[in-house]
Amino acid sequence: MGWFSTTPFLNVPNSTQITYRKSSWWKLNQQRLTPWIFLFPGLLLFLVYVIWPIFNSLYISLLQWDGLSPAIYVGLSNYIELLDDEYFYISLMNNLKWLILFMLAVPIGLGLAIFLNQTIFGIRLIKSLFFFPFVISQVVIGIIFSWFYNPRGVIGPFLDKLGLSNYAILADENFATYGIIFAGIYPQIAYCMILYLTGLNNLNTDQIEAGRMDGAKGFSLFKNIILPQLKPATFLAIVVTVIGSLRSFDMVAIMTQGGPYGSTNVLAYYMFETALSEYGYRMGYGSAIAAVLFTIMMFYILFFIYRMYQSEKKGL
Amino acid sequence: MAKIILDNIAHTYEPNVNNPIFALKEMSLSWADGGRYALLGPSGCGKTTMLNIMSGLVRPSHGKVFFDEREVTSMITEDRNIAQVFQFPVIYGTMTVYENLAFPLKCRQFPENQIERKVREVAEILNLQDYLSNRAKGLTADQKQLISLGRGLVREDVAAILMDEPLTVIDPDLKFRLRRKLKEINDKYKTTLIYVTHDQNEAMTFADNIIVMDQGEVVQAGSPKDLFERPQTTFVGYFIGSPAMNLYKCSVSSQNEISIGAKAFKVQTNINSGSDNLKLGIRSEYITVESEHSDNSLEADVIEVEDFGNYKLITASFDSLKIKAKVKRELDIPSEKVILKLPAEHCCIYENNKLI
Repeated sequence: MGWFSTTPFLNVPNSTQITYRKSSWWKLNQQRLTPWIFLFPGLLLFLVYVIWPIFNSLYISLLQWDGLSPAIYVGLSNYIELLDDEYFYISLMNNLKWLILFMLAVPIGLGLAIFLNQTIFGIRLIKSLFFFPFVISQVVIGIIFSWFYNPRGVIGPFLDKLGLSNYAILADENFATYGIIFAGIYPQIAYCMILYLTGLNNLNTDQIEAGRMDGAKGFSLFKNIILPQLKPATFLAIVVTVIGSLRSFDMVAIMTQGGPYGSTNVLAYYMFETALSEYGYRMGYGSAIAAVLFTIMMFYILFFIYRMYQSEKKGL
Repeated sequence: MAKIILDNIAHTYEPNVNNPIFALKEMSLSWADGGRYALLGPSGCGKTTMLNIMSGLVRPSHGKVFFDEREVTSMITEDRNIAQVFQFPVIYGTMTVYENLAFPLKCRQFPENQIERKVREVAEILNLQDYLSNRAKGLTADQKQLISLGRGLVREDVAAILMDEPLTVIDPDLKFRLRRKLKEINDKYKTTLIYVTHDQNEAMTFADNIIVMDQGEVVQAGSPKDLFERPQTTFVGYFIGSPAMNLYKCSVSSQNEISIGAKAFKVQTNINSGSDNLKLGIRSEYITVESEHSDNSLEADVIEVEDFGNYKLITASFDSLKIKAKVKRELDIPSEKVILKLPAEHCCIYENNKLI
């Protein structure tokens, strides 16, 4: 066995050789791939129904096309035309009015939520009744409000007494938009209210008790202790309200169809009108309006995503 | 600052039921001004209810609460001038540390310069002076708990600071430091501190008066020494001390002698009762290991000897009774039979689980 002692380490018997377990590619990458597999159906739909239409509209906005005849490439001329379009500016201004006035839904919703956040008999029924405007169809709300505003409707007789006989707000080109916004806010308040009611349910009682012991009362207690805890609800309420105001379409379509004289038009409705109604079938021009609306929303959404990212980085 | 008196207090959370369960059974207690108290008891014994009655968050179903001579039973929390520190730190996240500490004074409309002086003083005691301009949200759990405490301390006239298991979320080594800090604060400001806990070590090291509660009743109030040496009930003997007090059923043989089975022990209690529910209790710390027999000694079989580093714990059996004895670690313990002595002066006799 002389040879054995000279090369003791090289002579490893076969049976003790280390064998590596063969792992398949799938086993090695399973952890990394699983989320993507679960996300795949959603991503696919998102791609087909969101991403692709966005880019397709951007492309269409460069065309002159009625939807049937062959499309003609016209470059940026739709956008240039938009810059000189009076109705475009009216719609943009109206969108701004919607945006500003719609924000009222947030504090009003908060007020209602606080008012309803008590334990008395039947409060759940009352809460659901307050939430009702959000549940019923926007069409119904639009029709109800049109009837309210009718000079022979509900508020007509009261306006008569104020000296405004036969006044129809929806026929007044200066105020019709406000009439529609008022109708639009009605269900939005209910939505904000529900968001705040959930927030109020999750308040930290320790903090309120500590605040009371520190001597905070009334508004001070509300501002310093309750409102900061409602921050997530406020964030959500503002986001849905802003988006809701920018995409306002149905109320306008139901109550005035943009009239009188286009004075209640908003971007979403104007886009529909030029692209898809009997007034135009100008797909390219409508898409250009859509592109502008999309840009405004994108700025806003990116701003909020940035804010959200920042606050999450800070650990809240 | 005030003496707090609970006069015939009782509380139930179901006032409209015929035979309600009382979370707190009728009792009277008074808390001296400037005292350092611990309220000790197992979960659900009524500690927090009692605290909330003092702070005004709960209105007692029976009895009255006084701060000095002033009756505050129906007074709301805001007007009682009391501070409470909760199990989880309560901070106002949108405010800085300074604003947090100043908040109770702001609410009471103190002048700005007085607020600043007081806040800085308290921040110094709590080692928070470097963080005053930081957002309170970003601090560590123990710093947040200090802020909760600080909000009680800035008010010089606060009747008492009630603490409901305030150190539960704090790391063990910080717990020790914070407890010492609380003692310092109590020495310096003479603020009454009432500390609720279910941890006996915390209670023993913190308080000069411990109130032990069980099932809605105060079972014993006294110094840590009293609780340790003369537990008023078998519950206290069992609940306080580690290991729990040794407790054995026994019977009277003469006025100063009891017997467990056939074995007789001398005690220093005069027993005049013929009750058949008698128990002998002795702390494992007082049981000694002897080399030869004398009065009150017995020979037991060693079951186990555990070395805890600073002491040894002997578990032995005698006539199917388990005896635990805590002895010095240097002591050599025989491996089979050991002679244990139960000194008469440390034997407590319980009739119906109450000390005679």
